[in-house]
Amino acid sequence: MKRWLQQTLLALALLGSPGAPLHAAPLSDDAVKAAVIYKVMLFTRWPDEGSEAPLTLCVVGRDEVAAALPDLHGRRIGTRALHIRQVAGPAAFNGCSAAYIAAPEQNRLGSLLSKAAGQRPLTVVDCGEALCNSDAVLSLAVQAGRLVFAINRRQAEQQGLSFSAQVLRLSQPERVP
Amino acid sequence: MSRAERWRQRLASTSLRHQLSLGAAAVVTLTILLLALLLITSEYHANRKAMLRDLQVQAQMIAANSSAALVFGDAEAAGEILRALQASADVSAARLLNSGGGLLAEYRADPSQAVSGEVLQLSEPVNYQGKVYGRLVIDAQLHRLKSRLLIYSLGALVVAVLAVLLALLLFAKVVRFITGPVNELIGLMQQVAREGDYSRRSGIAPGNEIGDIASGFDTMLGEIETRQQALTHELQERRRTQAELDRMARHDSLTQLANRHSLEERLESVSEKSRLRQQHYALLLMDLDNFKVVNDSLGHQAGDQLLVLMCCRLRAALGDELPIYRLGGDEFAIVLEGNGLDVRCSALATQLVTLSREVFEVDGHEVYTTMSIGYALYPEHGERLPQLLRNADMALYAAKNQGRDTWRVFTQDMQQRAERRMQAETELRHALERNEFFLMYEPQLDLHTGRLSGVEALLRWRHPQRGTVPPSEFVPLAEETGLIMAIGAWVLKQACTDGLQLLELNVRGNFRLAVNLAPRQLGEASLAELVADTLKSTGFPGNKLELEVTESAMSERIELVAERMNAIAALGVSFALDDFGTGASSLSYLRRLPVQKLKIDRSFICEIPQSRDDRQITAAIISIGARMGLQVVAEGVETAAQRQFLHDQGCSLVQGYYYAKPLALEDFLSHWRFDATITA
Repeated sequence: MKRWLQQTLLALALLGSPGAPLHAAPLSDDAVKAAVIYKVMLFTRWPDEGSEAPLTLCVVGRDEVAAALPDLHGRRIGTRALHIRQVAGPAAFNGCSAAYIAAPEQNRLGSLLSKAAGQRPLTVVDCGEALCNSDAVLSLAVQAGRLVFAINRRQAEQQGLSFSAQVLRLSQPERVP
Repeated sequence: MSRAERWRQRLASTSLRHQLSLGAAAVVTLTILLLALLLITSEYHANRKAMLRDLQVQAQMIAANSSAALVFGDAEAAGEILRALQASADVSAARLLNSGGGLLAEYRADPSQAVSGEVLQLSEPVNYQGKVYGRLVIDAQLHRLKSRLLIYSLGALVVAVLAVLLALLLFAKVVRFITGPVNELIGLMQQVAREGDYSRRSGIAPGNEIGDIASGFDTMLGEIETRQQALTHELQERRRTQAELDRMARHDSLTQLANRHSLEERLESVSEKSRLRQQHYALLLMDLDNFKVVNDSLGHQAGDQLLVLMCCRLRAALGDELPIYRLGGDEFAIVLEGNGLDVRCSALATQLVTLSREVFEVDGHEVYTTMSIGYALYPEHGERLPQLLRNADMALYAAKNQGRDTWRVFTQDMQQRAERRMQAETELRHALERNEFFLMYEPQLDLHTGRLSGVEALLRWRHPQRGTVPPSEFVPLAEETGLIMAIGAWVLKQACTDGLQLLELNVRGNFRLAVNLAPRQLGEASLAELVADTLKSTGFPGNKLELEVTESAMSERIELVAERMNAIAALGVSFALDDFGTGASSLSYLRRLPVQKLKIDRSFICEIPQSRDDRQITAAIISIGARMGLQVVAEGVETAAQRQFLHDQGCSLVQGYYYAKPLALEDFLSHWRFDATITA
């Protein structure tokens, strides 16, 4: 079922877009990655759609991207507010709508997810130089100087998440194993 | 004159058909053009609206799809989305702008299609979950819309033109339907006006207004025709009457011959023609000699009948080529043209005179009549018409005067005679006015006693140059001219006046004053009145007056004469028959007239005793007088032998130079006062 395991990669020429609202000043790759995470979340349909409760982006582990994420705290996704929370372990996934898995913790993503009880969050990983096969729903990478992202649609379906077709179009095509 | 006014005038003078067609063309063209304009405008707006709606839908779709690209600032993806607008041919360009107004992506349609003309810009906000992330701006070109509209307009125009043509075609038929009868009517009117034939009708059935006009016109024509017929009829009647009047004016109703008026016209034209062509012509005048006798004795109807018969005879003899004119009464005329008139006229006149002698049968009576003819020739006897007429008349008069029943051609001495006669006539008139007449008295004696038994008044004329003129030289002219009436009246009055003195001549009871009456005086109805008036005014006793009438005066109209003489006899006046024995009348009338005395004409006495005939006649007259109880007077006794013969025959009264010459009153009175008797 590797066909259904989709890794959607999106390459974005963020640096070449001078009018981008989120980048008033030249941003670091990490800040851009944090912004991309926020934007993908914008186009995501949550299982608890209709709820007015704030969406929580949980951060597992520490890296440069994780360090840029707290800047997003308080932003709004639709009518809902975005909260950023640092969590220690899988047990803490409770109440997380999304979860950024920092680079050091990526290896234990599977166990983290399996240990997670109840609703699984939208998992995000940073693959670094190239998009990688990951069980995470959203993978980020900087390829040839361009930031791309991929969406694992199979994983997302399993987790009851869906994405706007527009964002799917922006994502990198699924890599067929 | 303004241009518009000139156009209006020109339009007003064009035909109804053209006016209607022009009006219809204007209305139809305007209507259809307005309709086309409306259609085109509404089409433009509808198309533009539809296009706008399509563009909006497209913009909304593109905008809805491009929010993520905007959010992520993905120009590539944005460009890809915008390229979807390729399908829309109207879109010339599109831009995606982020919320800051920066350009994210731009699309341009085929650059070969140059952007020109009006551009419709559409701006659609790009929002996602209530948040605006940018704007989509689409530029749409209208030239396709416009070219479509142009094609549409051209189509509409073609349809409009076709519609106009069709409408005009239809209208032309309608107009012809309307103007056809109108033109027919106009044609009819013009024809009627030109030919004056009012029997024509339009034959257009009434129904609409034109039909009503046509039937009105027909009715009018009918009325005109009726009046025209009436007028024509009246005109014909008038012409016929006029012709009849003309005919009557030119013809004699009794004989159907042309009349005096016709003759005048004929003479005028003939004389004009003859004058111009130097031709000759003759005018013959004819007169019946004793028509008056026939008229008086047999009545006017018989006279008319005689005229008609005479005309028939003349016409039968002359034929139609030689028309006869009746001038009135018993006068006729013939105009003869051509050459050899001298010979032809005399031959014709001889023929006519001979012809008229033949007996006519009028009312069962055999009537003999004769004709006198006189003629004159143009130009010998008168170059001017009045002169020619006068001369022809003079020739006729000469024929009458010279025994009647003959013809005369005009001669110059006729003229002289006529002049002399006219002069004499003038002198006669003057004589009466100037008292140049006077009376002489001749005694009548009793042959047995030698006493004066009466006196005859004799008229004389003391002519200033010629001296005393005897009655025989002027009485016929006085008779002819009618002056005898005035002279006779004068004589009667003068004699009666003188007679009062003569009565004083101590003569016995049967004295008579004898006064001669002219034949013409007996013809006057007023004679009795004249006699009565004269007796009354002079106081002369009627029973002493004796009027002498000649036998010739008796021969005509015996009844009438008898009546008049009886009226006079009632006054006591007696009558003596003068010149007895010279006339040809019968003795029977002596019984019917109040005559007491016969006078033996001097022509019988003067040959006595030499002429045996005269002796016998005289004896016979004396015998007749004795047997009829009439006194007999012998005139012109000049010798003793005559006196003796008369005495022997038993003649009672005598007069003549043997006894005494006529004397003027004074001489007579002085001569006879103391010697009323002479030895008989």
